[in-house]
Amino acid sequence: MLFLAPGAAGFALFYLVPFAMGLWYSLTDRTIGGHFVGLANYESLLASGSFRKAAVNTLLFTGISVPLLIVLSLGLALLLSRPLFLRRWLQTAFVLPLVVPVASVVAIWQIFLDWNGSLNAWLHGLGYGRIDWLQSDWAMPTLVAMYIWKNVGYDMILFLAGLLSIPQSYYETARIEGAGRLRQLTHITLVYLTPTTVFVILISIINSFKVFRETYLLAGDYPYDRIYMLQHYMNNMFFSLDIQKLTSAAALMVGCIVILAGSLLAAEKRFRSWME
Amino acid sequence: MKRTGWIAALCVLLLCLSACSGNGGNAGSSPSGTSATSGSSTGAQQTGAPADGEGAGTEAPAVEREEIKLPTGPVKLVVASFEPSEQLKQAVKKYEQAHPNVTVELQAAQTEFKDLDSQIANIEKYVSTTNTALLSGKGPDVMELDLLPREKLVGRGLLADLGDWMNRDAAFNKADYFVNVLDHMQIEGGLYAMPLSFYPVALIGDKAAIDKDGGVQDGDWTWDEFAESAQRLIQKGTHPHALANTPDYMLSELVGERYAQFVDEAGRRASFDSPAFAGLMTQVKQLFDDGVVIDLMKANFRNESKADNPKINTYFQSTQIPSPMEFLLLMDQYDGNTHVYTKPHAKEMGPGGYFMANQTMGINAASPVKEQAWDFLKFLLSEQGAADPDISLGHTGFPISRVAYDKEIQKLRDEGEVPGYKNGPAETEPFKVNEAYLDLLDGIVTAAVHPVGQSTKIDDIISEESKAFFTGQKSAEAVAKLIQNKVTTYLNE
Repeated sequence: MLFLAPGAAGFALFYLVPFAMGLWYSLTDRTIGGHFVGLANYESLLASGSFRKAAVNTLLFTGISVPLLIVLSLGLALLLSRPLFLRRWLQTAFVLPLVVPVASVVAIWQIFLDWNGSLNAWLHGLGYGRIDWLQSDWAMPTLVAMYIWKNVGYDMILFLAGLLSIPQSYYETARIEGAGRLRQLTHITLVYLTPTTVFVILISIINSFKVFRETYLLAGDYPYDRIYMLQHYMNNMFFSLDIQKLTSAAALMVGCIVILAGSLLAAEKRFRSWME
Repeated sequence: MKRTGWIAALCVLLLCLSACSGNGGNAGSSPSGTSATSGSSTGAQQTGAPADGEGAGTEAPAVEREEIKLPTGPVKLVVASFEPSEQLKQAVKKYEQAHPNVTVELQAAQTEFKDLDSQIANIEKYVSTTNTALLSGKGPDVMELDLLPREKLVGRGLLADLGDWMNRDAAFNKADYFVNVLDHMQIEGGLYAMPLSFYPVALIGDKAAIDKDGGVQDGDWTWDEFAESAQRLIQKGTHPHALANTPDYMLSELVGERYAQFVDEAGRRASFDSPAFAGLMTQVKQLFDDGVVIDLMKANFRNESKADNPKINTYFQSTQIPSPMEFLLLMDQYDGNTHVYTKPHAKEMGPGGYFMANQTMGINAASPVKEQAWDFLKFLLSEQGAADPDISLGHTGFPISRVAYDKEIQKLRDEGEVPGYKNGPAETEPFKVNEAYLDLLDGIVTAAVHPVGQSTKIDDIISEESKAFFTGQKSAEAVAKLIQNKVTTYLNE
């Protein structure tokens, strides 16, 4: 407990106390000398069409991108866990997007995706029409692609570590007993990888919220409505000084994340006790 | 009798002083005031001690005018500006000299212009830090509001109503100021953003050429009617173009005229995807393609040959008049045939000219030294605080102080000539003052009642997205759809 104190104090000071204050703001009608108004702020928040749209978009983005990312990075990890030509180079290449600063990443994507950008130039060269990547229904797939490009290496490394921790003897036994490749994968690899998978899913969900940074830098505070995320909403509420809606949106979002993370961790715990 | 009055007055003064210092430098109401009034009314007036505290003044329905008491102890006044003008810096110095107990801390978010990117980053930082400070009940006592979201600050009750102070303060004479401007700067029924100066916005034109080529009916014209007349004029071709401007400005004017048709703020609905809006964009583009209106950027480019005598090739010019001297220069164009026309506007707009407020200042509603803050602001507004014509050659707009303006005009009339000046490579010749023009200017500045406001988020979205159409990159329908998409998000937040 004593050794935890510095960490706990920092967490309390920078996260817990501000969050509690935010929670209080979300129940009052103004920031200084406000009165308790109960759930009125939440009511007006849920009445806002743009908030609902932002919530749906955020859910949709996380719902599409995280499973896709998990499958892709697991596939890559399986591929790169066996001897392969240029294996080390490939591993490095996949992790590189993580270490490039956001500003440079955004600059490149901008050149790439702009209405007059490289991608459209290539499309034009091939005889197709131009696509407004970030300002049409293509915006969501574009964002998913950006997210996967950025995070696939990180998740792959985590999966690789998980794969190494599975004892080789399990596979040997399975092989002696005549289990095929697919059976080995579904009954040994995936099963013993579950704790790693839960962790990777959690990290990926958190990272999926971070895609806002790139979106904001690429498309500004009012992007095409398909990629208008909860963070856009909160950011705009901050600039229109509507702290009440901002904090109640944040409280709702935290509530959802806590439920999601809690149920994931509970599932993992059940799995562990089942293993033993 | 006279003697007892003096003694009573002295007593009041002493009591006030002790009461003030007891309150830690803040002005407090002194209960002794009532006894002084019963003693001698003349005496109380001479020392300027008000009969009752400020609480009673604000509660009473009919506001009693009183002299605002200033704290006598040391006071620190924080004044924030994004980039303080030379005028503001000078005013702070002068104010500190006049009030030795007051220190004014001038906070600047930017001290010098480096490049556009850092400018934008600095503005964003200034806006977000000031907003946050105000929301948590702190922040500067007096601040420049030009870059801040005024309406929203007012909506949250974070700014003090300066109209209240103006009515209460016996030392403030409203008639010394341009009331027409002050009265039309109101937000939600109060004056929260006080302009230190303003630019009258006017449309001037070459009367000789216009009359020769058929004349115009400018009494109550809309931009639509202006465009029609302009097309007719350039057929005759005394000048090749009718006006120099930017496409997004023209579009915003045309949208502004029929705003309710496109935006239903209460119902949170936008109708930019209607054919009417695409039609407007096409109409604007047509005006530029036909050369009826020439792009300002290109027009300036053409004029670079000789800076102080550019060749004017348009029938009309839309201008913000920066100073009386500049107005005289403007009127001397077109070989002295210049005429001031009514700016095209929506039919329901009503008569009167247009102005753009400059350097608007506000007082923090949570400031502990509001009396001093109001006094400082009053000083900025007043004749002594108004722009010194020697600083930046008077290019800071028209002072909100009528007295300062009248003095400047009187000086021009008396001297009868504007001396030439040298500013870097540019040099102007001295020229004669035409008094008829100054009379005309008087009419313009006193009739300016319509503020040309801060651009809204919707304006920004329209101008940003419509660029792709005006440069021929996207179709009008595609741009209209995008604007509709984004404005809908904005309206429903």
